[in-house]
Amino acid sequence: MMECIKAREWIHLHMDRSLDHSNEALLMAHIEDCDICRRDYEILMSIHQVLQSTDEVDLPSDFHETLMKSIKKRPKKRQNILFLKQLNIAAVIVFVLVFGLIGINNLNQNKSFNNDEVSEEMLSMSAITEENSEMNVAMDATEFEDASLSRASNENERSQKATSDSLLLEVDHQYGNDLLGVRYDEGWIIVMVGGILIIGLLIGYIKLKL
Amino acid sequence: MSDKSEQKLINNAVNGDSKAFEKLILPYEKKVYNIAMQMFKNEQDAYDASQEVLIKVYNNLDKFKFESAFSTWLHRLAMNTCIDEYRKRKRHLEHTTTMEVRVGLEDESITRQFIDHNLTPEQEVLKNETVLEVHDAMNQLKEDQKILIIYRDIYGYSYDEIAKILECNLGTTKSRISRARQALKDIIIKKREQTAS
Repeated sequence: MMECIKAREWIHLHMDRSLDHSNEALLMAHIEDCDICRRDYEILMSIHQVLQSTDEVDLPSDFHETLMKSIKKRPKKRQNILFLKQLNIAAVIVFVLVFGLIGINNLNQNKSFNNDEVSEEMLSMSAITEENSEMNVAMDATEFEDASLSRASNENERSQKATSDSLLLEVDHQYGNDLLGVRYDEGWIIVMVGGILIIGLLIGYIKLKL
Repeated sequence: MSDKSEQKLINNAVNGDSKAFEKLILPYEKKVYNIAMQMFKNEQDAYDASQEVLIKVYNNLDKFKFESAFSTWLHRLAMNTCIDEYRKRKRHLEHTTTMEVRVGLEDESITRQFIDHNLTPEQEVLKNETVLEVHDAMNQLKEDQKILIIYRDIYGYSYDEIAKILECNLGTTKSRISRARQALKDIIIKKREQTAS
């Protein structure tokens, strides 16, 4: 004799037409004998029949038209997202171009300026050295060993060293300091700001799930 | 509609092509309206709720990631929206009129849905009584159980399809539907006992 709990479980399988024949026979035998299970079975089957005989109703004639009208009236969320997407891409391109060009331009200018300064410095240094050697040649030629002239030559060397030191300091002051081994100046700052802005825009781009 | 052409329509609709959306949604309109009709048993509420479902589909189409069938995703939205709207209306009805009064007013339209021309007049009366009894019990069922009965027992969706809509496993789905049927049966038994006493 099967239990009522099992019978209730099988009634659902019977409703779904997924109970095999042997178990179907067992269930029917139980229902014959058990008043409560028979009552449950009858109610569940009548519910099932009523629900299954439900007819589909037709759509109201204006249903589709109303739907399409309300969709067109609504704020076009997706189109706004599309616009934001395009705006974001455009902004990234503009920032990359503007900051990239400014940055590269500045770096090139500084590089060439530095090169000019160094070559000018080199030229002035060689001019001084030439003057000194001319003086030495003159001294050799006359074989005149004058102590005062030798002092003047030493002073000349010192002033030469001081000039080159001050030039280096000026270059440092004008074009940036050495910070953690990375040399930064105007160009680098612009590139860094541009980079931060681009990263910000990229985060915005990802946030929009594009 | 093949999966590929449906996928193309979805992509076009996401990019703002309203014609593609129209084509995509057309085969589902009647089904969604009928599900809402079974849920609310009222043309106006069914109309509003099904419009709401389809507008939600439009607004959230970009969130559909092709991880399930489009119909599964649409029915998930339909199920959730119908439950939410039903709760809202139930709360509103509690403040205005009782469900019983409402049912009384709609009896005729309900029985009209279940007309069987092969029955004798006596059988017809008996059938109408059963229909009203079931309908009344359906109205007293919790909204999440009611929607499961609508999908499974009225429209014959498979357990597998319902499990995918609910995003839960087959066993859980089966036991949830079984509990909903039991609850429906218990409401009817209780009502009969009350009438008898």
